[in-house]
Amino acid sequence: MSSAKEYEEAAAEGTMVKTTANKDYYFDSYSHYGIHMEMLKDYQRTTAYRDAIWRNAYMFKNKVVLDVGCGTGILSMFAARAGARKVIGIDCSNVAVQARRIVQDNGFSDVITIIQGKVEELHLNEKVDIIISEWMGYFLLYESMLNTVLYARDRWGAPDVKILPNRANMYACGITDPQYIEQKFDIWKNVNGLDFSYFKRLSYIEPLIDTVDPEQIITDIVPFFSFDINEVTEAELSFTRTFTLEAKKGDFVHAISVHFDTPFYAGHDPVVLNTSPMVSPTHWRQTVLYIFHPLIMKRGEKANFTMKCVPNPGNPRDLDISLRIDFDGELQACHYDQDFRLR
Amino acid sequence: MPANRDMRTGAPTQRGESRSANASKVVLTESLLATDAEKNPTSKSLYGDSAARISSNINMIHDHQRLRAYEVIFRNVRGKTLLHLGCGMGLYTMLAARGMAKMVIGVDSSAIVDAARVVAEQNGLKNILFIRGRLCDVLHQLPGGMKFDYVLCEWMGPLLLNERVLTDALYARAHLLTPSGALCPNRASLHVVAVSDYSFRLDTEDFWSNVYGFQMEPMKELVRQEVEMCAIPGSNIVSAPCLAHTVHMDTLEGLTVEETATYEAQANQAAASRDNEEENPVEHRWVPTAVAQRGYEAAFTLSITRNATVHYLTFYLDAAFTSKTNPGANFVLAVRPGGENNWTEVSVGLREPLPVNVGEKIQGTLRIYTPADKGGKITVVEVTAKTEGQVAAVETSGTYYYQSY
Repeated sequence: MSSAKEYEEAAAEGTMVKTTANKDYYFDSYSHYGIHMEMLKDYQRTTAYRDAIWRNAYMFKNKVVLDVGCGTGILSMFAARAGARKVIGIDCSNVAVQARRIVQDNGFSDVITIIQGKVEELHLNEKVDIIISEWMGYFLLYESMLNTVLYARDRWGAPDVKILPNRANMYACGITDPQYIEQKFDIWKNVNGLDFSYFKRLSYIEPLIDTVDPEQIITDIVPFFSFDINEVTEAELSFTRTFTLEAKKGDFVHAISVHFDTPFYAGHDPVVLNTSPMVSPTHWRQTVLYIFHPLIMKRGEKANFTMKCVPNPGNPRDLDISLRIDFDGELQACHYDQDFRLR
Repeated sequence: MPANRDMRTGAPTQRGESRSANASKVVLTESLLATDAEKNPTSKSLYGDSAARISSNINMIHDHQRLRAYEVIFRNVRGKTLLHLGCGMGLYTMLAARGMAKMVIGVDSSAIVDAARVVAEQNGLKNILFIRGRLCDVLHQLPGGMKFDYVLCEWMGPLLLNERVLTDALYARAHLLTPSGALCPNRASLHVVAVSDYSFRLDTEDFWSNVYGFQMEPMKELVRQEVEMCAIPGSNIVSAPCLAHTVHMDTLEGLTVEETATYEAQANQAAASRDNEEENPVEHRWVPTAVAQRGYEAAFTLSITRNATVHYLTFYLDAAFTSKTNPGANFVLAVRPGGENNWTEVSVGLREPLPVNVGEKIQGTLRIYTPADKGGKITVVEVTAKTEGQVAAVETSGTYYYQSY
C-alpha cells in the first residue's frame, strides 16, 4: 500500500486509509482484548518466544526484524530488548493502535515501527534479517497464517533470513473418551422423544479443541507431518500422510488426538514450543478427531491411518481433513473413511 | 466401499457391521463422508453463527426450565399455526409440531436449520417448515398471506432492546399475527445486582501493568469500556437484585412506516437476489429499530447484603408470557442471581469501586441505546452509581460498549 513511514504519518494525522482487511471478520475478532489476553497468559507460548529470542540475543544485534501479526507488540519488544536495530511489527487488526502506544510507553519508538495493514501491502526499504511470527492455529494449520509468513519470507527476507520458529511437527495418538461419547454424541439419539441422530452424525464431522488428559492416551504418540519453514511452500501445506499407532494397553480408541511442536533452531541455543498433552496445556490444547467406529484395541495391536489435509476451497482458513482408518485386531476390524471439517 | 452385508447370510446389518468368518469378530466398514450440504458451512459463515456448531446446541437439550416454560405453549397448539423466529436447532419448533399444530414454521439465519429440516423429516413431522435466513430476507418464502396464532421469538438481548431479532419481532407482531394471535414471550425485564470481584479485576485490568516486563496500559482502556458477558458466581453477589426496566411487547412502539417500508423492500431485494445467497448465506443485514436507537433510561437502588467492595454491576434478564385468551398458558423465564439463568448475564466494571456495608444502598442510573451507525452492532451503556455510606462517599460513572456479532 505505502511505505511504513508514510503509513505512520498517515496514522498520526488520522487520515489513514482503512484497508479492506479491517472489515474482514477474522481480523476484526483480533480487536477484542480477550484474545490477546488469552495468548499472553499462555505462559508456554509467550516464554518460548521470549527465550528463543533472549537466549540467542547475539543473533539479533543490529539486525532488522519483521514481526508478522504483531498483535500487542510483545514479540517486537522482545526483539528490541535483544538488541535489534530495527523492528517492524505488522498487524491487520485495530489492536495495532494499542500496539503503537505500548511501544512508545516502553521507550522503543525509535526501534519498533507498528504498521496496521496486510503483509501483502507492505513496502520496506530494505530486506529483513529475521522474521518472528506466532502463526500457529489449532491443528497447527487452522487459520493458516503461515501463508502470510511464507509470503513475507519470499518477499522481504534476506537470502539467509532466520525464521522463528523455523520448524513445525505434527503428532497423533489414540485416546479413549467414553464420557464425552456418552454426553456429546449418544445424547442426540433421544431428545424429548425426538430422534436427533442426524446431529450425532454431524458431531463426528466437527473436531473438538480440548485438553486431553494423559490418562486417556492408549497408543504411542507418533509424528506424521513435519516441515522446515525456511523451505516449505504453500502447496506443501496440503498433505497426505500415513502413520501407525500401536496400543500400549487394551482399551477403546474413540478418537485421534493431534498436537504439534515448533522448534526454534535458528540460533545456537534451541527452544521448543510444545503443545503435547504430556506437558502443561497451552491455549491450543489438542485437536480431537472422534472416529465414527471406535477401535477395540488389545495391547500391542497396530492401526494404520492415512490423513489428508487441505485448505477448504470455500475458505482457505478452514481445513478439510479426511482420515482413512485400517485396523485388523483380534476383537474387531475397521476399514473406513471419515471426513472432518475444522471451521 | 463394498456393500455392508453380512458375509454369511447376505443380510444387511447395522452401520456397516459384519461378522467375519472366524469367531465373533466384528468388521466395520461404513464410512462417514460429508455430503455437499455438510461441506458448505465455513468459519466465515459460522462466524456469529455459533449455533451451527452441533456442540453448542447441547446446552439447549439441558435447558429444562425453558423447556418447561414453553411446554405450556406446545400443549395449546392443536390446530393452530406457529411461527418460531430464531428457532435454532428446531427442538421447540418440532415439539410444537408434535403437539398437533396445524402448521409450524421455524426461521433462523443459522445453518443449523438445514440440519433441523433433516431431523424433522426423519421423525415424520409433516406440519413443519424450516426456512433459513433472517425474517426480513425470507418473508417471501412464508406461505402467501399466512397469519399465525403464536409467534415464538426471544426478542430480548442481554440489554433488553439490543437484539437484532427485535426488528423481526416487531414486524411479525404488526403483520403476521392473527387478530387473537400472541407474541411469546411478551414481557421482559432487566435486573441489576452489585458484584464484588477483586480477583477478576486484577486478572483482566491490572494484568496489563506488567506483561513479561513490559507495560501495556493502553489495553486497560479496552477492558474498562467492555460489557463483559460471563456467568457470575453467586458468592460474588453482594446486593439484592433490583428490577430496573420492563418492556411490554403489547405496548412497545412498533416499526415506523419508513422502517416497515425498508424492511419489506429488503425482503423484495432478497427475493430478487436469491441466486447470490450461496455467496453470503448469513450476512446479517440490520434494519435499525428506532426503539433500540432511542433506548431507555432507568434508575436503580441496590440494597447491600454484606460488607464488601463493589467492582461490577451485573445485568440479568427475565421474560414472561401472559396470554390474553388462555391464562393457563402463562409462564415466566425467571432470574436467579448466581444460579442458572436463561441468558448469560452481562457486567460492567465500575471505574471506581464502591466500598459498602451491609444495609446500605447504592443509587444509580442507566442509559442504554443502540446507535444507528456501526450497523447497530454496538450497544452503549452509560452508568452512574454512588454510595453515601459509612465507609466512603463515592460517585462513579462510565460508558461501556456491548458488541453483538
